[in-house]
Amino acid sequence: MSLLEGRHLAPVPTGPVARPSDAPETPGSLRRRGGLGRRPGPAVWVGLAVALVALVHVANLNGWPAYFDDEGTYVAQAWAVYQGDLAHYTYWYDHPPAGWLQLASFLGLPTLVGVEPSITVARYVMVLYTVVTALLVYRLGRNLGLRRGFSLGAMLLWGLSPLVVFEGRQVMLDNLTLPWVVGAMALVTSPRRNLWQYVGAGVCFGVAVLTKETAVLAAPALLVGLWAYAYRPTRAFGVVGALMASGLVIGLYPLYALLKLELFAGPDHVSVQDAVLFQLVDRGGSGNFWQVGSDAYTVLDSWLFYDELLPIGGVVAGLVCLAVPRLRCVGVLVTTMAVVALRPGGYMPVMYVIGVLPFAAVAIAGIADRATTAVASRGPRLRLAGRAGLVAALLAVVAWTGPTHADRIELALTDEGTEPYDSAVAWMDANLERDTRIAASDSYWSTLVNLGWSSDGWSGPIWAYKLDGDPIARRANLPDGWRSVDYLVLDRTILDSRLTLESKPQLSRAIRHSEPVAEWGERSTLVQIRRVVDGPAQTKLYDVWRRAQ
Amino acid sequence: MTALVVLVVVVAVALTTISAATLWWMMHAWGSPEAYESINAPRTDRPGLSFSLIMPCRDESERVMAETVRRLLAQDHPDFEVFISLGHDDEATIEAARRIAARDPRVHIAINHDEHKNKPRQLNSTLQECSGDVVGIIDAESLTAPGLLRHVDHTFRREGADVVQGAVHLMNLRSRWFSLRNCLEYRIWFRSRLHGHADNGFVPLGGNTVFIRRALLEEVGGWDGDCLAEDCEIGVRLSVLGKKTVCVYEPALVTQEETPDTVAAFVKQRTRWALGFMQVMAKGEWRKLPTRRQRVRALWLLSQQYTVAFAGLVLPLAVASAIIGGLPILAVLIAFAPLAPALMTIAFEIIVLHEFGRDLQVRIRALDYVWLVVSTPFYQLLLAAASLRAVGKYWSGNFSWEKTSHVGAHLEEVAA
Repeated sequence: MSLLEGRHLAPVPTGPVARPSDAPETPGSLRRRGGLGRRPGPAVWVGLAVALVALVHVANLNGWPAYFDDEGTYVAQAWAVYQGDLAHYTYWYDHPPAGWLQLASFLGLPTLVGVEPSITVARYVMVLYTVVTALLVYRLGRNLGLRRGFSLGAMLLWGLSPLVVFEGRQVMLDNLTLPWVVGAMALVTSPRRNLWQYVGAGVCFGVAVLTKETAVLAAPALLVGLWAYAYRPTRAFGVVGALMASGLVIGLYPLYALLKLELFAGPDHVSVQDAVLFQLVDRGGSGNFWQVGSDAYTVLDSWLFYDELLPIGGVVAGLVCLAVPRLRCVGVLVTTMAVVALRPGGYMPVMYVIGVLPFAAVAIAGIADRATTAVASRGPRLRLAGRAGLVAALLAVVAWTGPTHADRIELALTDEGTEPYDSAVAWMDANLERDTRIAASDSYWSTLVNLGWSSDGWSGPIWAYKLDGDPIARRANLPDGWRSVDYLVLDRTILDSRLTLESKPQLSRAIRHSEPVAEWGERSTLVQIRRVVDGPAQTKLYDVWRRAQ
Repeated sequence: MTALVVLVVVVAVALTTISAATLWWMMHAWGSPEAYESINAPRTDRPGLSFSLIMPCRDESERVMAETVRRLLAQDHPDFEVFISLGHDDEATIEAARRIAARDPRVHIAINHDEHKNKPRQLNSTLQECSGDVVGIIDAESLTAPGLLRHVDHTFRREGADVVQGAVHLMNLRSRWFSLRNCLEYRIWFRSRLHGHADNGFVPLGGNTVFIRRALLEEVGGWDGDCLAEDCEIGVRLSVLGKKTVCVYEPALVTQEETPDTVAAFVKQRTRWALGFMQVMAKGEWRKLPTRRQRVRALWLLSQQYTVAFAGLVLPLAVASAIIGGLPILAVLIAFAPLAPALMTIAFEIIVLHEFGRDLQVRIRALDYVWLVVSTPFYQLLLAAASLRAVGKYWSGNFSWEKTSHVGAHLEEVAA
């Protein structure tokens, strides 16, 4: 039972978060502590571990995984920020814009040396975010009283998880929230217990929510963490400071909409109200995890394909953490996200898991730390048994997940999933005039713009779903509708669901009235370029769709 | 248009800086556990020093003075004398003071014969009659806590202090609409900000419940007889000399006072302070402070009333002009930025008020919290009015002393 007892009643005297001299991660301290002829200090280990994580995430970064539609969306919208707008199509409050604003600020630097914003560059930004998150995972572990080795373990468990490599490389808003959410948790559990750290945590949380709304699920856990770790006499100030700071940051979003008179729904304009209703109500449910064949089941299956340890072990460890005072905040976070995921009939996007994984890693490492100390405190003989048990547990875990991990990491380092995409782009570059209109998924947009096509959204690459999704702008820019489109680039994103396709008359008509000119890959990796031709329909929608299944 | 955008952005950034810095200093004591605990809560031992307490009076009611003296005489310290300091032309008060002094041999009367009367001159002439090791100033309407002197005595010796600044709280929360904010202002100053200033090495002393070694006072030639903020002024000079000031805080030992009894009196008091601060700034002693940090902080403190008044007046203008002027949305959002520290300040003040009620055993009602928020802009207006008035007086060279009258509202508050 001693596992459940709070080991440290007083805060653990670890270094503060914000003081660089104490943060073992800085290069300066690396030199100081790990000087020649000395035993390598913790900074060296942390540095090596982070380097390893970065290496695994960078290697073959533009070869795998295949570009996901949303990656193109966010890169294009970050690009639009340079043009002084929040999106190059009408910004309809689909997500708050802080994510691509951050992305834009990082994509700006390489343009100075002539590197145009692209999904590849944005993927490097993701690695940067992953590295910062990894360091913060270590920091959080230390703040929660984990020993160095276990904190380092949490960092590696997360950073080297094939699931994290898979999701983390892709340009997704959820990845951009991670440093903010993990940072907020590290701040509220900081041993310095400074009021301004709580205010800072509130700001971090606010930015996270404005990056991706799902970050709001971290709120209860952050409050639990603050409450447990704060200095009691001034705790009320900490709570109010954090709430005010996050409220003020998040408030910018409705304020922006209000100033544009787009907070509430009305005729002839987009609004936050409509967008919220769409995200919360109109979006179809994904079914339940336990129903074979449901969307949710498929999503869960895709997670477990890459890693079973972190999602399953993390949820179990998270539940145990609820009973450990010092780890409860992490337990609350994991549990909250798990409960929301399990709610029947909710919409479950594949990237949902990203937000929970760092905390799952900390939960597993935290429970392992507690378990070993609990056993060791029972006397020397048990200590030996405890060590043996730890080794046995490690071996068991390696036996369980080792082969899958190795296989999936190899996939990440060697697979050429983006090849059909690259080939299609090369073909268009070589064969198509720059004034052709090409309807494709979002991921082609910035690449084609960099190759010289128009960036106005309508006379060069066109987001395929905008043909039906932005009727006002389409009528203004393409009076003839689908007939004005010259080429189609069909891939998994567009051909994913036949029902969805049929609900888009403009796009599906364009497909029916087109003929294939080139293609690469097969089934789910299929990329097909088709030319739109006047006259009678050339093909059945079903036939085109089936080739991609 | 561009000019307006630049103007709005510059003003917004300035306002945000002002409110954020003010918030930062206001929250000193609640910022970290270390700051919260380092309030030098005094302890006691066998007294070792003697005290001369000066009580400057002008047009005071006998009732108020008598109560203040009664409280002083109730001190459990064995060695102190009380001087009721008066002006020779204030005959009614002198009469009353004589009656009060007659009742106890420790109470004396000191009469100032200067042609122009003000507080520092009365203090200076009274100083010549003091014989204690330490001179303390107690305002005429101040209710001191019984153990105060013994604790101050101990603090002087334990800390090797040259100056000990005690805490003053206003207690009549509900007398006037502005009283609540006024009380809270004192609470924040003495519980938090003053300690932040002390850490920084620049302490603008208060004029009440402040204790200074007599030898030091004589060495620096006493108070500046022409300054309307003589307390702040001497604080600057002592800081420049590197003298050690210890600020003590303990809820049970705070001196209790009253807020001004009318809006006019409040504005007069604030005008006097503002004018005094301008005098101190113009005199330039603060420039001799050893470190840059201290000088910046001193400059900030002395000019704060203007920056805050400016912030209070301009904030709504900036936001309004940004919206009405049809500025780009980003400029409008930036114009809103100063609201962030301002709103956060109000949120923190609500908890400070709660803590104040708890520490001083005053019941704070739900309506008080509401009032605290509602009265904020109007209180800001009062402060701004006083600051502007001070500027007017400064230009016309009018430095006459506008005294705050004392009706004894805090006596009822304390009795209740």
